[in-house]
Amino acid sequence: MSANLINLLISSTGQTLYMVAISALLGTLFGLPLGVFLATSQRGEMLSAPWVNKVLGLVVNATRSVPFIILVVAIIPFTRAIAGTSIGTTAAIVPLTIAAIPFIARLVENAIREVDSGLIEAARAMGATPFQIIRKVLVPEALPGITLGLTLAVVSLIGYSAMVGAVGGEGLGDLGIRYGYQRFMPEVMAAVVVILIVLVQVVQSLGERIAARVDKRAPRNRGH
Amino acid sequence: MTADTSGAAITFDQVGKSFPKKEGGLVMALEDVSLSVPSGTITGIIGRSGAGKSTLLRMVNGLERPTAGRVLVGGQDVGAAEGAALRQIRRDVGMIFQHFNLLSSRTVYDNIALPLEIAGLGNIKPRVEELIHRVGLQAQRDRYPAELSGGQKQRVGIARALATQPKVLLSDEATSALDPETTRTVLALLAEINRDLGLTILLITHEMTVVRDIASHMAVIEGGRIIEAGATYDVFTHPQHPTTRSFLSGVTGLVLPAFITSKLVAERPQGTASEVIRVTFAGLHATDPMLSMLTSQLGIAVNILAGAIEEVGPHPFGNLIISLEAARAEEARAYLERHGLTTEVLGYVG
Repeated sequence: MSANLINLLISSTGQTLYMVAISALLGTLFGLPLGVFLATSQRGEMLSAPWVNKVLGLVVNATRSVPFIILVVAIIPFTRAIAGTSIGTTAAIVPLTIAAIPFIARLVENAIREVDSGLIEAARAMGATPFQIIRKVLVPEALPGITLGLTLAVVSLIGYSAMVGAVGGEGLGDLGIRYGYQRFMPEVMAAVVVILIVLVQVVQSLGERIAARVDKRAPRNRGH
Repeated sequence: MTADTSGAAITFDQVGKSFPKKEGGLVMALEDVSLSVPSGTITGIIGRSGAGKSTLLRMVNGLERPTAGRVLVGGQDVGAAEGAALRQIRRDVGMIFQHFNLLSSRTVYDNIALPLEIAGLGNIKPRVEELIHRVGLQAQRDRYPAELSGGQKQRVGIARALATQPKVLLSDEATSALDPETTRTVLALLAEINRDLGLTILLITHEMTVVRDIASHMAVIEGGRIIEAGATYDVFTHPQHPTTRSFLSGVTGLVLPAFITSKLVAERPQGTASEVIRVTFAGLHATDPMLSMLTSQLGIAVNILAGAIEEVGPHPFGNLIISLEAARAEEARAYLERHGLTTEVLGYVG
């Protein structure tokens, strides 16, 4: 493999990491509060707002039903409005983030719903405000689940990021299509696949390690 | 214990709670409950599951709202309080739970600190350390709940409930998930806190032993109504309602052993028969050697079939089930009654 190709692989990996990192960050920024709200706003719940909950739930489901490659194309005007262009790696962050938000929101919602309702009752009995319950009880107690959910989201984003070549986004997927497939360079394709596998492995084991560290629910050896 | 507010820490005044049924109509969870919890006492509410005791307890800190009547805590109407006012009342009412409800993500120290953080208090460290010391968990200070035993978890729960120096402590089946030995130590801690801090404790339980061991006052709840209430000693010695008796049977030997009930008949049979009598000892007479006096003074032989003698509050109290020669039974009963014991004929054995 030529030095040129190796450079391409390195820069493509960097672009993939850039897109995934930024969209995961933004997706969490919006998805986390959305997930918390979805988990606490059904009828009779702490932030009871059944109609808003229903509408947001519908929007989340709708966004998640659209295949990512179609979402990328469908929101081009929106992407242009946000990023100033609809083409390129930075522009690709917009559809990635839009896909990440509802995904992360649902994962966070599930993690929060797993929290024992007795803890909410205890916090209410202490005179906690809903915001205090969310900040001091729900999110910390759901943290292991949220961490695993975010890991899953990042892994999915790595997969999605391979499709943004369709709108001129670069990265590993784009490299694989253009060189590995269109120029018939199987060694490039193989290299792309190997790098993606390694990336996913690293993200997955890192996520699991962090989740295990924040999970205090089971006793473990207190070695020093 | 009527709905008199003088000297009461908590007053339930004709409290009702109903839920709409799916198929229309209402389910009455509580009906016309009036009860005063005297300040500084430990009061136990006993009832079976579904009797409404949990709903009643949760009204004291506004986790449930009455649909009728009022719940007063320190003179404030909890049912009418909202928002910040309700949260303020809640900080004056601590609560402990059957399943402890500790945050798994926080250490012992941080769990106890939580209500202080919620109340927005500064410099909480000395207070938290003091509470850890009070419940004897210095060695577990930095442990997570998963690393603690059930008794230790409930000690954390108690320390946490006391953090904001409440006037009232609510206990929701706090010992039901604990073994008997641990139950004893947790109850002893609650009694100690009641004594040292003058804290009013309202507890709900389905175990009469819990009421016997620490409650000076009690109420029995069934089907959403208070069926009996009063000083624990009075209820134990003179239970009025069959449900109360059934709760008592486990702790006071009120229940007949099966080998007797199988042979027991209501009518006195022909020929030689024995009469089975329940003798209730209470107060001063509980320690008198009445049965041996019966034998020595009247020459009536007494056969003890079952029994239990306990302390309820400061007084001894007990039940004995005895059998004696039916022909002389009436004479024996009169003798015992004359000496301040209560007797009840349970039946005859041929």
